[in-house]
Amino acid sequence: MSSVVIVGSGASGVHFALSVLRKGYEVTMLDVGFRGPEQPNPADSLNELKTKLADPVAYFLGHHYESVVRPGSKGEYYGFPPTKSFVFSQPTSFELEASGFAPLVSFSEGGLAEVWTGGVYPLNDEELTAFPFGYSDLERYYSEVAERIGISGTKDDLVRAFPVHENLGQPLRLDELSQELLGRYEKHKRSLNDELRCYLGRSRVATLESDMGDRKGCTYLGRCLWGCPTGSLYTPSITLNQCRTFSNFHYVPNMYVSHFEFNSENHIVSMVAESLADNTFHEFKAKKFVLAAGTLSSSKIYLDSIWRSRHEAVQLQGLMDNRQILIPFVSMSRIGKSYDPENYQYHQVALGIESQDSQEYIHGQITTLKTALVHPIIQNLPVDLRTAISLFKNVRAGLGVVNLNLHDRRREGNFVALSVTAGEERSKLVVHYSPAAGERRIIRTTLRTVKKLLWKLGCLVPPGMTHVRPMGASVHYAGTIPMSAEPRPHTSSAYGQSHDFENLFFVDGTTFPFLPAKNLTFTLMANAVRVADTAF
Amino acid sequence: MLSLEEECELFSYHLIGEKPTSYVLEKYADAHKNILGAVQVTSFDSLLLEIATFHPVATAAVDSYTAVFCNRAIFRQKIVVLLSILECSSPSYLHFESPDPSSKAVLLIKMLAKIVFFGVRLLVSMVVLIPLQSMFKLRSITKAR
Repeated sequence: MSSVVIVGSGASGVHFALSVLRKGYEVTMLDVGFRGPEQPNPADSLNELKTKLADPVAYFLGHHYESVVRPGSKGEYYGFPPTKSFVFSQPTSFELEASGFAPLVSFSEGGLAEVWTGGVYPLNDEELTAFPFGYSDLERYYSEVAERIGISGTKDDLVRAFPVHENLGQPLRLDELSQELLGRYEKHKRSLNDELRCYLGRSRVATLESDMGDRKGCTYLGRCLWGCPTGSLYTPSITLNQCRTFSNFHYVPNMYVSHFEFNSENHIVSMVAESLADNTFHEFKAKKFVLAAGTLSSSKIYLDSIWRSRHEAVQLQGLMDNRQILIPFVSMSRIGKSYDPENYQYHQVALGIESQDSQEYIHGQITTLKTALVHPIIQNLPVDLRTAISLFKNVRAGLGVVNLNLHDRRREGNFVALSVTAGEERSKLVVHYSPAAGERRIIRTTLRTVKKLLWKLGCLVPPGMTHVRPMGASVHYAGTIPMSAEPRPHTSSAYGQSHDFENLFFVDGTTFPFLPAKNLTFTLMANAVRVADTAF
Repeated sequence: MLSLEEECELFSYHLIGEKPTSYVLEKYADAHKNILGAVQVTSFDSLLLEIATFHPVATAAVDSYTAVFCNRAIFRQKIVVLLSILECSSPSYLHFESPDPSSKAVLLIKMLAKIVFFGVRLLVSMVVLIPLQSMFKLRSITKAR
């Protein structure tokens, strides 16, 4: 039986693991694996928790009030739940320095997708142009992942942007504002399509509409962000638990992988990890090694390994991320109406804006406000807090936010590298990013288009509340060791196999040669299954 | 100078028109131990807080002023933290849930009136507080020299 060591338990790592476990590989998964608390009262809705929990403030805001969004945090409309803060905890061994980029990394069990919003959008042939494979090569892996995680969606106008694979489940129940938006879109479809090149439809989400195995269909508790207590909203820890049922799977948590050791023929002999329990170093041997720690962490392991062995300072060029723009809006027809707090909390409507160049497609998700921490929104209104509360409760049922993603390309000058202080054992990851020339113009044009679209849909965009998030905020990082047909240094094959180390594979975003606007997690999972299927 | 309990009562009444429960009072005090105690306070911030705790009318005026001019003042920090506690506690969270039952036209007029009143409060507070703020700024510059 062949052996493989996988680093990281995020979306791509667990799906890769499940595929090779089924093939009979002996799998060791190394992970820091921070874990969060169990969800309390799984049958209660979000508002019921406010009544039934002994200390609701500690649950919603944290024991040290760390989830309070305090004055001065302009533009951030989400209060992040303290129960999910483990996702962004870092071991002290990991150090990072960034310019032009606000990086987020995760060392949690299940990785960053433990706090994702479940958007799953397959890439089409245009978006895969820079990849050494097309949609037809990926389709069956999209279908397989869809079968594993459960996806709700439907065939509508967005089929032109989201190809239809198999195993697409029934869509979730729509909330009232989303229903209204889609209704108005139907009325104005022709002008929106022809004049603005905008298309609206249902989001595709990794949330179950009906029961699947142990997982329940969505019960509309409004607790998605705080952690779905019924497992309806997919997170990678669900697949990790599935992997744990295999006798050939060895999950080793509390291990921070620093580097790999390789011989003179560039053959990796072991992965080296520091135990966070006692700071001792351990070697893990296998025939093949797979980095699935996320673009930044995988790149750091790769760079550290080269530095320790050859003292060679490498810059990995081409870091990419989706620029995100938040555009809050209010639907005029819903002013004074009440809202139903027992609803699916995340986005149910998706938006596509086509462009002359099909790779420059802009992708958006529309989240209507249901349950949420509302003090970040109230304090951002340009009036005193008392007036803001009064205005807010009257417009609450009509509030929503469009979350837009822009595509990104690999460019020289956007890189990750190491900073090593002489005599010190540890290195620091250095990240540098500058936006593309012309980005401001694209943002301005896009904002104009979205405002016109929202106006047609009966919604107003309050002045001064649009927020262009800093680079790094989308956490869709990719591109540092891209797939390349030619075996150039620091690139990989079409199967994620390193051109520098023959028994090293990457199954996370590290190898993506282009970053489309669509959320990439679904493609990460499908690509990981493709690599497992074709190269293992 | 009000005690934290009195301050919480005044601010809770200002925000939602109701006295806080004992749980909210306890959490407000706890938030001071955890986060609000560590906030850097300038002399002008202290003055704003003193004015705001003097009378409910003054609270409303300082709320309007800090919404526009001194966003990070300790007074605003306190009321935002209290707001976050109120929205997570029962029964006060209900204040953020249900709209005014008036007809849409009446509601729009009411909303417009509230914005106009905010404008008036802001103007009045500006007349009093901008000279004071400038004076404090000047004093701190002179001190630094």
